[in-house]
Amino acid sequence: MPPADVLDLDRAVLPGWDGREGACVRLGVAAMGTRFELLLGGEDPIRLRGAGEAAIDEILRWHAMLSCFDKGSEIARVNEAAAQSPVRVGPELMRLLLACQRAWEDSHGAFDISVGPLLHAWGLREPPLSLDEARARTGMHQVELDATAGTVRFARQGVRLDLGGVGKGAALDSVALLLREAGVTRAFVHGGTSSVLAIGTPPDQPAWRVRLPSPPGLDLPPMDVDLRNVSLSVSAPSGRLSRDGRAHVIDPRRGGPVEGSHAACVVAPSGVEAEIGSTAMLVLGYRPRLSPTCRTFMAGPAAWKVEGEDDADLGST
Amino acid sequence: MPTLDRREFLAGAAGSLAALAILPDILPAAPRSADPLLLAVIGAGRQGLAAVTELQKLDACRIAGVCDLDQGRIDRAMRRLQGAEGFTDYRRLLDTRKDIGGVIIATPTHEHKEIALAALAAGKHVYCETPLAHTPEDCRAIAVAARNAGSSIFAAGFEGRSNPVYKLARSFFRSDSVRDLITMRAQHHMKNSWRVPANTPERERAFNWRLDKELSIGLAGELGSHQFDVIHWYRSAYPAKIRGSGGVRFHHDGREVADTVRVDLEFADGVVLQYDATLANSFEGRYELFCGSNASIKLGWSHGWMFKEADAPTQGWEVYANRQQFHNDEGITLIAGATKLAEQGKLKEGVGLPHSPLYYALADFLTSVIESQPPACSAEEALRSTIVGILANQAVRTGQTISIDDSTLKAS
Repeated sequence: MPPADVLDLDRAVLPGWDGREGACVRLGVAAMGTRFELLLGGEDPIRLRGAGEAAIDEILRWHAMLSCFDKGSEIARVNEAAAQSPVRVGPELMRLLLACQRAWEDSHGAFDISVGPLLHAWGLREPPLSLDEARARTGMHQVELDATAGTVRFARQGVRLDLGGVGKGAALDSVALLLREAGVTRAFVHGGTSSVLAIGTPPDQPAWRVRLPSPPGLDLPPMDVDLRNVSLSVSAPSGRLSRDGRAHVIDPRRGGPVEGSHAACVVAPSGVEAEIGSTAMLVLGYRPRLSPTCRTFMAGPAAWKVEGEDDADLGST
Repeated sequence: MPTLDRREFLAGAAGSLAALAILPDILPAAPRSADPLLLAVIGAGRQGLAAVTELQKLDACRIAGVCDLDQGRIDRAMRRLQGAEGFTDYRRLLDTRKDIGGVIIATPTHEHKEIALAALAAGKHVYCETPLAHTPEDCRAIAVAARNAGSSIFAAGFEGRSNPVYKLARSFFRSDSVRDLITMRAQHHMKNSWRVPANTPERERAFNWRLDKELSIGLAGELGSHQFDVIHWYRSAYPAKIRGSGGVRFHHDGREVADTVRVDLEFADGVVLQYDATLANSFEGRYELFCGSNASIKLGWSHGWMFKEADAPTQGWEVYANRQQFHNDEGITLIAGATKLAEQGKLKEGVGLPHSPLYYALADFLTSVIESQPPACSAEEALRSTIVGILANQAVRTGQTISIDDSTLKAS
């Protein structure tokens, strides 16, 4: 679970635009274990509201597809039955799972949507599980994706997929497409402030500006990040508390907590790439393999480490 | 409660034996078929795409075609499908894809009739979204065509009739659990403009038919008819009088279709359904409530509860039932498959439906086709609830009381 307030939305984004120029519609919805907010700008508030409501429906659709708690969701059906026989999934989920498997290979296992059992072993989730058993259940090598047949199969019992943050990224990518099709040219959408989609800019401003505060325990100056036609994702351990009350990130490769990672932020052409990137970077402690246009921000003991293009307008995603 | 229902109860239950004994015990199994039935979804707006999502969970069918007047919507559906063909004209779909056995009609309400008649004439099985049509004449044309359709199944999309929670609660209702029905209440509250985004003026007009005064049957028709159907199905009765009012309370964007309505449906026995719907507030969402002298039953889409009066007799099964507190009232959760779950000690896990109500309605449609069984909701049943919805909308628009006689709700 991402921390609740990694991004300082109200102080950093909203003062940039108070709706004086043109119309500004603000909508919200609770989904995917967090709250999504949409800020849409344009000429006609009536059409903007319609577009925003369609975007909310889209977010809820992804929620219904990926929720681990909703027994009817596609991912719940996979988790329940894929160890017995191949489970058919829709092309959208298949594309997302394929991207996650590629990212698992590219990151040498640092990004792993099958990490769930380890969270149980380390007391980050209930019920508890032995570490040996959790290690045996973790790893995307145990997930067989047949893109032609559109099926998912697990090599053993107990494997669990949890799309978490990358699911939010996929939902925001879908929202981006929908808003552009509806003719929306200015939009700022975030899920729980840790997943952000920026379309266009606020009127008379070069970019949507968001502010990354210093992670807890460090005394860094806040980092301002300008966004235009890009997605952003922040990953930090502060949202995940174990039984001892300490924040942890679990390294799926070693099966134990990561030491010394505070916050990782990736600005990328798509939400899925940003989410994969920020999660992998937090575990690895360095910039993972990403497309060259991505900007990365890593909280170090004394300063933010920034890599990538300075002010890339990545165009339509 | 009508005497027929008491007899039904006495015949079905042996004395005070746990009511669960006569209840459907498990969630319906997904329909099975050796060869998946090929289906086409006609209309790829919000409801059509929802059908696409649910149909993909059902192994007994495969979506082979998607049809919409708008290419952008076809593209959106195609991104969610594998191996389907897109059409912008339903006639070409019906002419060229003889391998497609059934169609899901999810177009705007006023387009149902033309497509339903053509699909039935082409020998397809039809699942038609509801309300059935926007005029009584179109409803009758569909009902007549469905009656003369030979071996083709025509199923109407009043989902309540397929919803396992609603079916379970209905068996309680019809076995006299509420005793004398005193009053009924239902609502559909949501915060939504009902406006569909589009990037051209033509599309804007076409997509926003629900806000077009000439075509739309308003909240009472589009939303209300679904809930009226639940009431009709539970009671096997239809209202005799309808009163209505409404207006634009919140969405002051030039629309002429009311965003807030209030309707009273009065039945021949004097019991009244108080119904309201709004697009300006989402409090308590959608529900139907039956209040009787022994108990109340509240239906909330994926959940159902029974609230007992303090002087009502207790039945054995209530002891281990799952309960939920609502301010001062305690609701007994109505859980589909409760007996089996209780045996496994998993009663809590059964609260709420695993799938959306649309899933069960589409699954019922496939079962009807595969097993040549009557549909969960026939065209004639849908006609009656739709016409009540159309008349309720008239009552809202005119403010006049509308009387319904036997001929009003007849198919021909």
